[in-house]
Amino acid sequence: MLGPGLIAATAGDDPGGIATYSSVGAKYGYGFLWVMVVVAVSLAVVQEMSARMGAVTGKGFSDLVRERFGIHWTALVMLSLFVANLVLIVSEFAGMGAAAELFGIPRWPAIAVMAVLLWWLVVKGNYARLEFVFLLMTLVFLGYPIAAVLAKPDWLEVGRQLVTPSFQLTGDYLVLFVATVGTTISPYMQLYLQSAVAEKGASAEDVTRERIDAYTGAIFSVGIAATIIIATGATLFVQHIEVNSAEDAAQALAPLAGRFASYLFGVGLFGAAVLAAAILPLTTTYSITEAIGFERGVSRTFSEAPVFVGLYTGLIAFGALVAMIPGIDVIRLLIVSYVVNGVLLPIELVTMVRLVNDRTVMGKHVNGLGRNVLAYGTVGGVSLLSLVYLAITILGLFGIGPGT
Amino acid sequence: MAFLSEIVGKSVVDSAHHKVGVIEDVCVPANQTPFPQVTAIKVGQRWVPWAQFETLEEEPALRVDSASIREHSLRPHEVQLRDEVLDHQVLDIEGRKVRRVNDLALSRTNGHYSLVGVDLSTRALLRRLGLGRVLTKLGLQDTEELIPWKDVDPVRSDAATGVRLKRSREAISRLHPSDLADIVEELTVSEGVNLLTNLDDESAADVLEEVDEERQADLLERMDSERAADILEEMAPDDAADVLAEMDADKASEVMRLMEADEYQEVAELLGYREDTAGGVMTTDYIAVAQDLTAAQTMDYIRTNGRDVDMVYTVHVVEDLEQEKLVGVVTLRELIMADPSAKLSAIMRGDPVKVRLGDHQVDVAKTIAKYNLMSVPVVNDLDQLQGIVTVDDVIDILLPTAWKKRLPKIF
Repeated sequence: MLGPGLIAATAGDDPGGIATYSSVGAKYGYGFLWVMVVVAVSLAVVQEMSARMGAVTGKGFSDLVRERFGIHWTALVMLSLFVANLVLIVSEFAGMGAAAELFGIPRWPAIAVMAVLLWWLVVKGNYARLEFVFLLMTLVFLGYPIAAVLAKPDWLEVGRQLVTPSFQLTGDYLVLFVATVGTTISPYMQLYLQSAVAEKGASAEDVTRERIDAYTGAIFSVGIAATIIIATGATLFVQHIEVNSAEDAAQALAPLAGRFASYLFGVGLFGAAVLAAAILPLTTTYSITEAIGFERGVSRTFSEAPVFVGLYTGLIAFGALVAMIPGIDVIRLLIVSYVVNGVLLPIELVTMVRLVNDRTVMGKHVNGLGRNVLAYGTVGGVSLLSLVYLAITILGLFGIGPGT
Repeated sequence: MAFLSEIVGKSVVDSAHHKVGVIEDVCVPANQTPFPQVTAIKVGQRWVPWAQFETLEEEPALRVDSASIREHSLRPHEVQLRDEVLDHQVLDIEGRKVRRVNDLALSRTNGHYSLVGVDLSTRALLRRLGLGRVLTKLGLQDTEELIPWKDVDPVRSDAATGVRLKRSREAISRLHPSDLADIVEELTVSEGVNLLTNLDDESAADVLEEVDEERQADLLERMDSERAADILEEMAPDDAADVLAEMDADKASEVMRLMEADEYQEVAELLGYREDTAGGVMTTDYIAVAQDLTAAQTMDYIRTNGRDVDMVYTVHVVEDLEQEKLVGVVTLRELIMADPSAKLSAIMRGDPVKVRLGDHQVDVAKTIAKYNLMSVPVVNDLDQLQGIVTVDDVIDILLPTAWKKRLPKIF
């Protein structure tokens, strides 16, 4: 069975992730590669903390938050998670629509059909079998490393950019920066990872094994992301093509698949979108109902757990309906959804670091000094980023400073 | 009536109206029934005994001045309501489920405050968030969901002290095994193991049999091996075999080694069969008697030996108890109705419906359904009785999707 850490890693490859990384590569070439290195370390640290908490406590994140923090902080965390996940759900359905269009299928009916199908499959309990199929579809993104190599990038330049930080204080740059952080360190994946580890029946003894799983997942995830940036950097950036549609993003796979690039890309995009669209509403619903203390839907029918099933249905319906709105800029929507995640990330991270250092919760498995340095560093960096972004955006509304 | 959430956070002054601190927590003895009395209140970092309090509601004040505070040291049987109960999970005995405590209700009688119950309603949450008035303005009902304290039991994940254990045992023993199984599935593994310590081996086995297999394995793995072996001995051999197959190999071997020899034998034998065949589904707990017994003798036999056998409704008649070659079956009903001196060979149904060890479980299920049986005997190639497949196992086979019509916990 695939470790939860590895499955969590595939989150980076959802439509929002692909859109973000493709745009980054197309617009700034290899300029963001150093960011990926830094973010890889942060992601590994954060995933490890989630997995460790799940193993040691046997509980999910929202359970711990509710039990250790006051009701007001709990409400804030839950609300931010809800909003972050809600926009992501919209983005997954939008991604499905974009993928459908690559095959010539109109967006609107594709999304509607998938929403109903997804709801029905999960609620009727048959999803587990199909999960494997969708997971297979995401393997398409293993095409990116190949495409990256085939595109014959200047490897020397790639190497240089991996270790040379650069930064621009422009609106566009910041948007993509925040989105990159948000899409790599997606809060919902930490929720999922912690719950999955807890659900597995892992205990404090399994911490080392879960740690390795979390690290490999993180490195794999960021690795794929980096190759997407390299692939688009070597193709789109060089040809000065900006990513304004899924079609554009698909072109990065051209070195690999030639004129079949769009189809290949479409398959991967679709699989990743469906996988995420199944996990997200479920994780969100579980977290919210756990925190509030409603009946959980695990073995109950609709009549016995109306709030659970109702919330789940509502999330899917909202996501699908918004994604079906005609004329939306899909790429922009995908990126914005992760900007929202990036901005809200500090709330979740601060909470997580507090919990993982709480002896009542973790016993002797609290963070060591080294981990705390990295953890607090990450929290500090992400918070600073959020504040800078918000400041610039708000000032931008008044026409001050670098535009957005 | 005062709610804990309203009391916590209030400033306390002493008899000289100097501020002493802020109320952090309240403690009660865990085992007082039905409504435990508040013994001490945590002000700042210190526990102040209730006796030194003048008032609690409105403006909390002490009877004495700060210098004369006699600090109360927390005893093992005392529960800290805010730290350990508020926002934590409790077992709702009446509702037979796990719930989260949204608030605690305290009531004043005769100069003492008693813990009356827990509030599980969402209204309590909204009130704590300061949105209580929103509900009133919307005209929504004041649905208080106050469960009396005696009808709930705090969920524990660490080993509870002996004093607390007593109370839990009483509360939990009131629940049906299937309900307890649902509850155990909702808790974490450690909490589940702890809950099971309140039950004797047989009751624990009853509960465990109803828990889904993966969780069964997790729970037994987390338990002390001796206790795990004891519980497995009380379980039906086919269920025990199933969970042992699911468990971590090392732990499973360790536990099996601690089992009593004959129980071990039965389980080991069953583990040898493929999961989805009659052999893999059957149990070795059945009634078999020789064909020359009378009806009365058979009834006596059942009375003496039927204690550990769930399925006594069908008596399997064999040529002799050595070879156990199956020759017929008699239902309990037929046995009761028959002339007590009649021989089994006369009243039995010869050439009974049977299945073979290697038959697929779905075919076994179809056979049971077709002939409207409570159970079907399983024989080997020599027609020797090996075990029986009971109708409850068949339901699990035929309706796996219905069973899994649960929303996946996570995938």
